Amino acid sequence: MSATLIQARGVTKDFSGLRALNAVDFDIAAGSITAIIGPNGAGKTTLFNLIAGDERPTSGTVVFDGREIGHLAPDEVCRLGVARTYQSVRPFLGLSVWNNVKVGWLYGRGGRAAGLKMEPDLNEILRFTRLDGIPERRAETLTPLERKRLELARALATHPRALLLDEIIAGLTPTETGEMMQTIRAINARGITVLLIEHVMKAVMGLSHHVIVLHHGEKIAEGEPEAIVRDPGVVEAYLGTGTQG
Amino acid sequence: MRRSVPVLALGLGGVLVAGLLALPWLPLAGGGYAVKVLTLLLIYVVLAQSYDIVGGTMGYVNLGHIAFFGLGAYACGIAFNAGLALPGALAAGMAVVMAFAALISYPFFRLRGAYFSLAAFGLVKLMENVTINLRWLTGGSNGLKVAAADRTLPMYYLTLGLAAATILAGWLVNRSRLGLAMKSIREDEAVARDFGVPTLRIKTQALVLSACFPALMGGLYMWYFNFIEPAQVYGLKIALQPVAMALLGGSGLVVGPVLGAALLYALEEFIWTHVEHLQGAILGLVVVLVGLFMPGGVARLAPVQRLLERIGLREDDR
Repeated sequence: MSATLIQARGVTKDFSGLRALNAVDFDIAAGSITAIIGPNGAGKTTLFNLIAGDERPTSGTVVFDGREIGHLAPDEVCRLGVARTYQSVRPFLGLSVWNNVKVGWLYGRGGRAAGLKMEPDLNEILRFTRLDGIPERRAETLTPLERKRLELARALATHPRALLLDEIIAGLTPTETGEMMQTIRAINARGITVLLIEHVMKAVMGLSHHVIVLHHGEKIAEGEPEAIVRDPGVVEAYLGTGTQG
Repeated sequence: MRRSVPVLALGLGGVLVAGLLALPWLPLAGGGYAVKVLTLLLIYVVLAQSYDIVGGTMGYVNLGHIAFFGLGAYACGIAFNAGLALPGALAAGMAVVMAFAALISYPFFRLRGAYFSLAAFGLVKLMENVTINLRWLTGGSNGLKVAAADRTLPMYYLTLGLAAATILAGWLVNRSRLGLAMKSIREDEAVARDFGVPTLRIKTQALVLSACFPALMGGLYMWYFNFIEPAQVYGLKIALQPVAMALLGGSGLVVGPVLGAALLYALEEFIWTHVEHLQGAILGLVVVLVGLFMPGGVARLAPVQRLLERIGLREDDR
């Protein structure tokens, strides 16, 4: 595929004696959809936090578009073009849908989409995430699904180059899952590189071009989704060997 | 019954507008007592409204807001005694306070929630002690004097103008790009930062802006009373009253602090005048009762919201 957008080399993260990530390397191709999978506690969200600037690596480098971002603050990383959603959603509950999205547009774009006018652009983003018609609603009045869409809209308003989606499909009904998968494909079709943490295998298999498997903070496999599900090491990490104890 | 609501609202709105229009002409009516009472009320409006820029819009409960008032009073008084005219002395006081606010924002805004509030509160006591000990500059516990004169009337108009400016500033901030960043910090600071808001810079700007108004108010206060002492401008009562007023009226709404200042001041002036020692307890009681029974303050009660809507003063704090 094309050039590398995000590159990790020897990324290690310790939390007071606990090693959450151990010497992880990977390359994320620009324009791809990459799924990061692994059992609970594998270090997936920690990896997102490191890319987004919410945590700093204990050692190793994270490079975004040729620039070291491991030491940057989250607001700087966002302005460079990395936006995210959260595993347990965190919209600005007291603000309207419109103002939630407006924060991302005003502060997160870092000069991208400079020619666009705010109002039509935000309207388009709200239409795309199917939140049009309720721009004045306070986020705390939204349903869980609408809150997920709002997080997505807020991230899109920054006109990101890379989008980190932390379990955005978890908890959705089969119909909603299908719709969200279509939305993610459409986002990717706009040229946005997508990284997703996901447990729902249907979504992982249906969406991703590339899969990275983490287990106990180490990358144990990566490759195309069809190859990954047949990888004996991956199966063992998820199910255990079955011969012991 | 339904028809009576607009009539009532119209009536109240009319009274409000008439009252506001009457304010500048009040002294001509010869109400010396009323002028003094209103001046004090307007001082509280300035303090409560400017407190709320950081306390309400940004959600950082700044219990040290009065430090700007005290420092402004002393800096202006010292500049005035050094021979500057009032505008120059006020400008000097404001410059000192703005620099001070910018300086303390660096360490203080690394603290969150109760830690920030308590550190800011401790700052007031620190300022009081520093003022007492810098005797050569401040007169220490003997207080600071400026040339006496009867300044009742100019003080009234200047305070009225400053109160109007403070309310206008609050209104503008709430509608601005800066205000939206401040609200996002109030809602979830870490998320705000994840979405590009340069939180430390925004917090510093908010604090410096909120410090301008008490700085000028402190300067005018010094000039009006001719004399101040540390316990007076850094005292517990004047420190906590604006906070209680903002909470009572409705923190985060521009009408909130104004409403709260009027209510609490009326309570104090007309009911509790003769029960000096209860005033401190009343502040605490007000905060507790507001927190328990109307956490949004008076301005967010449904009937008040409807009323504000009718007279076109309802704000959007979403």
